[in-house]
Amino acid sequence: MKRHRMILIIVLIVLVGIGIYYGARVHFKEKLEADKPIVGEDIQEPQDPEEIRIGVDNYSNWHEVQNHNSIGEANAYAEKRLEKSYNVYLNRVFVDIGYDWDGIVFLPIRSIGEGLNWRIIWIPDKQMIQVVKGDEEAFVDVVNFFGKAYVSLDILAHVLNLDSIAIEDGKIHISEGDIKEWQQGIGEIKGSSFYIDDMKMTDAAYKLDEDIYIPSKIFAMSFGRIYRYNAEEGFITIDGNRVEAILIDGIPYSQLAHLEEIIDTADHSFSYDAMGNKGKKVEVVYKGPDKKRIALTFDDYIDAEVLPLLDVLDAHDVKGSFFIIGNTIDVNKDILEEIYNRGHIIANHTWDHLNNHSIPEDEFRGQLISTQLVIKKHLGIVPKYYRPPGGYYNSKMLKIARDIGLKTVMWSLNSNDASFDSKPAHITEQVLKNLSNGSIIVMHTKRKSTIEALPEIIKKARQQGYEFVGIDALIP
Amino acid sequence: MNRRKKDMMKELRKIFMFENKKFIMLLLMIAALMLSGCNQDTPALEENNEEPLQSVNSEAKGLAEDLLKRSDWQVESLGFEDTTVNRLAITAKGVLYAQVEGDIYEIQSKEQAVSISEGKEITAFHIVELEEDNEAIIVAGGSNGEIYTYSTAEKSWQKAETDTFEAPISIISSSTAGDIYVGQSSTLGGGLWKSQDRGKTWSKISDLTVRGITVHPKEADVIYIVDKLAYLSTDGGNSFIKINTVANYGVLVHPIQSDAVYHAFSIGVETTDIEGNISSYLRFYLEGSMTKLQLNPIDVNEWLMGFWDFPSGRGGLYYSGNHGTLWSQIGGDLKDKLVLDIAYSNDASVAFVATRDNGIWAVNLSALRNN
Repeated sequence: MKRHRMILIIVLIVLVGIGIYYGARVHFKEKLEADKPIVGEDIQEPQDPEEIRIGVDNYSNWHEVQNHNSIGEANAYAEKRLEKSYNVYLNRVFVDIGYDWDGIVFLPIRSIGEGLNWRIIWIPDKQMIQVVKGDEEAFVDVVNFFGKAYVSLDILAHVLNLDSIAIEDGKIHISEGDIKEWQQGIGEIKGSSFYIDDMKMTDAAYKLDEDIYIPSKIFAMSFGRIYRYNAEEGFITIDGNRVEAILIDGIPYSQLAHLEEIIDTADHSFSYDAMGNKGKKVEVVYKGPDKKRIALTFDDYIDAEVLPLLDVLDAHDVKGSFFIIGNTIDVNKDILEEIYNRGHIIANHTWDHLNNHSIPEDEFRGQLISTQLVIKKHLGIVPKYYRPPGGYYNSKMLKIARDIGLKTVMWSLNSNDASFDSKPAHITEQVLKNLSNGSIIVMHTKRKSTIEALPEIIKKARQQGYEFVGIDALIP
Repeated sequence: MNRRKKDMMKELRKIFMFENKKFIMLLLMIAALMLSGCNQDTPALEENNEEPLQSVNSEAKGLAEDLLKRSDWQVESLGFEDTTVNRLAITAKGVLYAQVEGDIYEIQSKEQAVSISEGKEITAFHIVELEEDNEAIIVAGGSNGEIYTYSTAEKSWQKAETDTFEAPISIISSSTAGDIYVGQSSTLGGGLWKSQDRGKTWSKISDLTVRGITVHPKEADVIYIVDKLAYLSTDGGNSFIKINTVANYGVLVHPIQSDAVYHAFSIGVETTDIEGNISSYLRFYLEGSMTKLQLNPIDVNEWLMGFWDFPSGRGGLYYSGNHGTLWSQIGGDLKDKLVLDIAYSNDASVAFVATRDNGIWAVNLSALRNN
């Protein structure tokens, strides 16, 4: 009797367990369906469905759904927060974009302060900026938005002793001191596209009297050079050299010939036309095909601290993909070469790691092109892949990346190694728990926890039959 | 049917006729385990339905006393919905005054808020208690540099003669000795003015532009001012020296434990002694910037803070019971409201909170502490 009772109890427990399992599966499946993002709404993809390829229709697990949704939500939210924007003109010259957040207008302090010859000194520990000019100094509490410091218009006016501020028609005109007269562009003006090495630098190049004029700032930025606008004196410099410029619609333009006197362009080709984009597909990829192949990707800066990471990858014979921030590549060119020579993929993570929602379009082009060119200078290759910092992108950015010849690569699996308290065990668990066919795993370059977690991740993933590949093997 | 089958049928009958209590208990336990696993939500601060205790301090007066007649609340709107309230101050009698888009309102109770500013465009105000007369005067600054005084007993305004700039008055404060200070900082210029006759006459004592004034609660001649930098005077404002701190957000000194002087900046405070020598630095690890910091007047360990991340539009009111080391967000309807000012009731049982575009709120601190 007792034995029968025990058998029955076990049978019933098994039945209950099966019921729970199937219930959970149905529930999960329903959630998965319900939470599937609607492409075109969540992350404002390009409108033309023929023009886009997004690897989001093959979710394998709950993490991938959450990952995609959270990126979509963050992007939609960023667009909303940046909806009320102002083009900011300092002494009649366009310098940057400001935003209305909760009824307060915020402006980027660096571009305006430096234009008026204030020294802008960032104090990272206290998230403050010190401004100094002659005997005057002040400390300014700033609002950080992805590496760019903003300050309220009121505080800015007060700290920099601005003479006058006028807000009208979505523009903010700041006047300070004697405003110098610029030579204005006159005659027949025709805006066209301008390319460097087949990468579109701008859609607003002009031909005036048979001379080609390029927005001076974008040209300088594309080469990673230091551009300065001196609003007090009314001129611009590139790497400290004054450049002749005229003003068209509030933007300083310089003749290509004059720019080439300062920047050596011998190794580059230029073209100029009115074609607009070249009609290639816009690419944004979250994961690879449904095969047992996965990619480890590493974002951000490189320096000597990356070497232990390379050693771990070498020891396990894994090819990684590095999305590198451009502005420190020159001083770490040996590390760049080391990464490349060890067989890893080199990719673009923009020049300054800003949230590119918030900067002018042409500046975004400069962020991508300068990183392409500095990699080309040191390795002789041009990256094919780009990852937006923080995962922030919109349809304009996708098209600009496309025009530069870059595929936008996101991730399907976030290792969470960027959290400051992330431990190797957390990273290992997070990755192994959510692995699936075609996973693109995001990690970061200079994290001890990541390096410690990798051997276990690689070993266990291989035991599950996965092969580690570079992203070039996942993305056609 | 063989014997084994018969036994099995018997067992099944027992189970489904609820004869086997042990088995039913087992099923119930499985069900309970499943339910407990499903309910992972931790109750938020505002969702705690425990009966909050009444304020242990029986000295709540006026508006706070009125609000604490009920104990079943934690965060409550006091009106002015869809309106920005810039500044709050409370009298010893517990009457709340609020600067609401250029007007000053007197709030006696939740239902009774009356504008008293008679059309004046007010940019700053401060309450000076007059103990001997059992009344208070309100010193208010106007948008064109005017200085007014309002007697709460006589309910009338007086305008003072001043040589302030034709620009908004930035800040007003007073010492326990009755000296009143007005600060101004504008593109036209600024300075610090002092009155020693309850705001009737004013004299300029410094050309430094001033956005913040704090008078030491126990040393009436020690005055801290902030504008682009922070300064200290030990002689009633006649001379100032620069304080070696980058914090220029505002200065706080606790009325009882006044040895430490807290210099606020966007993400923390630097602490100095009374003479401005830095003794410690505390950073708050929250996303965004401080919009207001206030110390509990009877417990130096309890701080309230407005914090806001402008790019994301998130933040609200935060509470610390351990001297600013750890912060908890006060949820409910105050979540994601931009806090502009905080005023404690006299017994610190209620905090009044001014917000951008969302009016005035009361927080039942007695209930909050019990959580």
